Amino acid sequence: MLYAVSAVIAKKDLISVEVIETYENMDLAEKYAAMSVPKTFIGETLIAPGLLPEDYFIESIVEGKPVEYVMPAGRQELKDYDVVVIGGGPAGLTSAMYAERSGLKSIVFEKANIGGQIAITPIVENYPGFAKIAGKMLVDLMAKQAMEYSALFQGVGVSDIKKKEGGFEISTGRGTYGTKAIIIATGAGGRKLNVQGEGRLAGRGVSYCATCDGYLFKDGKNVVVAGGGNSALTDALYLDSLGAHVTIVHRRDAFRAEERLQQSVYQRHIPVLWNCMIKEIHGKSVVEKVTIEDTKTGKKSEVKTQGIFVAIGYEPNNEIAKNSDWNLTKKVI
Amino acid sequence: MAEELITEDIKTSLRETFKQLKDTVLIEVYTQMGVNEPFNEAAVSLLKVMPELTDKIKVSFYKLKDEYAKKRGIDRSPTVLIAPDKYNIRYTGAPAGEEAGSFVLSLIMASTGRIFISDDSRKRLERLKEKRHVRIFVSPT
Repeated sequence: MLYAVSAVIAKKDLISVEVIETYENMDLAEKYAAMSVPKTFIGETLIAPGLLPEDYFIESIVEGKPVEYVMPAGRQELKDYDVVVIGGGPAGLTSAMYAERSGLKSIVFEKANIGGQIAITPIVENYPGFAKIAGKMLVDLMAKQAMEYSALFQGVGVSDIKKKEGGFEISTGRGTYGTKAIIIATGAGGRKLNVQGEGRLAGRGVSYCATCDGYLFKDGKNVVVAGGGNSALTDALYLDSLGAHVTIVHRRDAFRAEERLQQSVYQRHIPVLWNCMIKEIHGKSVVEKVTIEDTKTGKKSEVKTQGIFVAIGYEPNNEIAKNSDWNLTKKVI
Repeated sequence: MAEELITEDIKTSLRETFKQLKDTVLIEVYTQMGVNEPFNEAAVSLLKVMPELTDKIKVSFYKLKDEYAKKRGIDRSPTVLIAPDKYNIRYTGAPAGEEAGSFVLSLIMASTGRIFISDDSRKRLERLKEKRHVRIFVSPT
């Protein structure tokens, strides 16, 4: 937001900005499929489904579309590197910095947003050196520091890795690169339900971040939280505090979450559908209801809801390692 | 809700913050009864307080049906414009919660011309030759 206002002030004749409070303008949010926040558009084009580092944001304004790479002054793009880093979260950025400091030419490919999960964490309180810092700010600092050393590509995924003489050949959305070594720092992502309607209605009522999107469902809107671990119960309590009508759907007959969280859920009388799984999510342009199946009886029922918060754990993004011929042991972490 | 939204502590801190203001900043607030009522109240009570804290902020209040609103192309309530005589900065909705901080910083930027982007970014913006409209969807949390 501050970058956008800064850009307006720097170029007042050409740039205008509108900050839209989603909850108060649900029709606009639906029109732009912006029920997950923050979301930035330039004109009608979605630039980022989250927060963007400064250089990427400014470059996107200039280009009028999302950009993959911001070329720091005086640096040339190469086709052959010593180290290719896959993943632009803290681990990937750190790897690239260490590589360059050791005299190795490096490049970072990040298929989504630089910074990874920290970028959508409102406040980080356990990063050494910072007692309290906004996740986005921490990411900005990391990205700036890493860009002093290495080339960072955002929105560029690696589709294939082939072994070749003396190294590897990496296929990306931007073409093929050669490298002597690869560091895979792809981290983990929120596990998806993998049910019909989930992908289509993501950002239209289906959310993986209660702190980001919960506010839209305050004042008695119905929401379903899927999961039974710490994050599911934390999300359920947070949404309940906002005033949403929460129902927890859990596939087992007991929670895995810590005792204190369980007690809080019971004290607040948040209803739980035990031994139940979400089988399908319905809605024309936004979520309207879900089909739930009882795992014991197989009986299906429908629950009307405007929001679904999926908190069923994380999954390592290790596809690239799992599927590669060069991974001789076929073992992944 | 009214004015107790902004406590004495916040007022004291804002008074201190606003000491750095340079040029006078005009703010326009547009509302319509019956639409987003609690947010209209929040926007109005927040903006009413500002001129009490500094003589560098001037606030005008309009109704959506006013001719002036039409002239400005405003059709949502509440809407807040920052320095519309100089810049095109619009808040569609009340700048509350997390957004209140960004709003105050936007006021400071509009008044002082000091901005939060690097020299490198300023240079990048020099390449821009076409108009751009940025829309950012946010929430107060």
